Amino acid sequence: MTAVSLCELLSTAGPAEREVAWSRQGHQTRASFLGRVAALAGQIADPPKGRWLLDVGDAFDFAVGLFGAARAGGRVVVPANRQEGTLHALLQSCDGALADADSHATHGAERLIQLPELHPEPAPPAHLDPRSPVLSLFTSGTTGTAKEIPKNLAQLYEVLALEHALSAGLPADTRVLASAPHQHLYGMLFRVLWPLAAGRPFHAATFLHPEELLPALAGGHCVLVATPALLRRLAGRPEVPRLRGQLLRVFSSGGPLDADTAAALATDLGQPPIEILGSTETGGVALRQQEEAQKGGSTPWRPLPGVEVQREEGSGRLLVTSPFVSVGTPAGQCLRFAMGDRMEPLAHGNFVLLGRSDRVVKVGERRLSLPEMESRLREHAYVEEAALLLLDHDASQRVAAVVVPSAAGAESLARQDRRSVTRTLAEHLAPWWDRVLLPRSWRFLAELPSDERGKVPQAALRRLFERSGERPRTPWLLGEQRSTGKLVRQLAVPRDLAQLEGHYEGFPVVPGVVQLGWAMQAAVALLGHAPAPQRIDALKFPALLRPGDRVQLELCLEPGDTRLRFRLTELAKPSRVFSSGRCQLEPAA
Amino acid sequence: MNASEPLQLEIKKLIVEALALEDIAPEEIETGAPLFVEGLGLDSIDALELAMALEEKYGVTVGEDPDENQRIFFSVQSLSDFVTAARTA
Repeated sequence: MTAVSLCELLSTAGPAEREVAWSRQGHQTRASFLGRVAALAGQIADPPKGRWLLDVGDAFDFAVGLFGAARAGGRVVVPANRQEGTLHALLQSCDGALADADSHATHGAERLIQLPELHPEPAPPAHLDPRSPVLSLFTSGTTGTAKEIPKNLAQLYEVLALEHALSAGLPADTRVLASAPHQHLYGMLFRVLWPLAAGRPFHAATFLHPEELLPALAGGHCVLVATPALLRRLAGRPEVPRLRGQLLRVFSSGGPLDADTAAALATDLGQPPIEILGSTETGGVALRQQEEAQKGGSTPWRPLPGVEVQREEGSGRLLVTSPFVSVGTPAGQCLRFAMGDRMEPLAHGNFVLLGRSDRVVKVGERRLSLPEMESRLREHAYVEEAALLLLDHDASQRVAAVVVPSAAGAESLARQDRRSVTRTLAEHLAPWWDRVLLPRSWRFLAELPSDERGKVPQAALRRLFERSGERPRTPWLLGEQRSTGKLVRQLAVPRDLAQLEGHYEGFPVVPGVVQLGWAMQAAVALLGHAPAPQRIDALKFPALLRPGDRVQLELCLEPGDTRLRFRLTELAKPSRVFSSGRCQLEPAA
Repeated sequence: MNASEPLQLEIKKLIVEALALEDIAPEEIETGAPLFVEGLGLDSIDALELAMALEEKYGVTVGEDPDENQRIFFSVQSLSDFVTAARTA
């Protein structure tokens, strides 16, 4: 079928029984969608141009809320997150809330409509006005305050451009699954509005873990609307090659997708993920697929149909002119908006990104591009992932580094003192930058913090440095193998492990309860959820575990069994056991 | 025990605290080793911060002669000699 514009979604004829969305609760048809939209519009027609806070976890309910309000001539206000404080602040400027039972908006709203409880009503065709605002979103606000960005349906017509540019070769039975939240523009466009316009069923749940997503993907032709964080965890899993020919497109947006993840998925699925560049203000701007040969992040971006890009004089920022831009300066029929990324134009309208303009900083009068230093750090064999930030000192600001160590880096951190590792990394950077620009504070983490958009929040990085000398609480991961019911991890015990405090002066050992805690953390990866142990049997600690030791952790759950067995042994000498036991899990309900 | 040792340890503590150095205890700084670049790895911003900290703690100020300052800031030893001389002057 051909895609319809969103204005005609409620007026175009189509089969009533066609599937619109599905979830564990069942399937939703077109008749059900249109009927619920009409029911909601009937309930909220007064006041006619109302503002409704829309806070639901289910993407189908979200679509009903958006089009129900639009049908009534109103608009929905979509919060950037579902936190209580955010919702209650927004309710001040709204006439009521469209919510579900989990929403914090259920108390505090003057009027409340529970979307999952709507019953379909007769739905005569309705044409929607492309120019009236139907939606308000909020930017993450790098400056600190969130900014409201209004959108009308014409600005969301880009779903037609997406269909035009990206749907070639998708069979009629293709379904859409997502890990990107529908509350943000990328997820809203790619997993809700585009499927609605194109007549493809979408899964109403948001998949945050590969363990939940993989079984859902195995059900036929599908596309995945993903975040880089999820793709990093998906890449290299043994189930992925089996999805070839079924998982036909993978989209990624919200942050940079590293070249290794793109290459691993390209090998397993036959094509690299399609990365989308965009923002709340501009909508979708450009796309690219990283090719192996261009590893290093220099694959050029290609503008989406209808989008014009230029380099802003002076700042070098990416200037976007398109019908999808919703805030900015007038440029002909469209608006023009300057994004925070700097760009370099290439032939045929293509371009490369040079990093965020707001991440070029000055330290001791010297200019530094943080993204440039981050990519240099990632080249070192000790480094898997790196994020840099500026910290305030007395006389100046200084660069600080948060590093996710590779297996080699983790091993060095466990065996040498931390200072020799940080010195090695600083010396790796020294040939390219003045000494005053080199990172002065370092934190090593198992993974970078990320927010619901898959971005690394600066505030979370900053907090890592608030307490000086924060020490690791978990062992460094050297490797991991999985098979059915079994998880094996190779670990190295940091020399500066936080729990060594007080155990014992002059002869540090890792307390047994800490080892047990590591086993329970690993159990989350095996079970897909946190274990609820009833009791622990046959618990033994035959040998003392010391900082710097390299160990193997084995977890085993036989099919049908409710006892999780764990064992922590020396990596080089498996007969040397540090701890072992059986954990009685909650009997299956 | 050398009479200047308590002062030297005090200066080592000052360096670690004022410059927020990680992974090094004051006792680990060698009294005679160079502080800048090849030794402890301090740089020009550190020199400024250290000068501010010395002024605040001991009321001593560095002069205008860059060569002389470089000599004073060479090591903990040279810093402690400088502070001692300024106090007795």
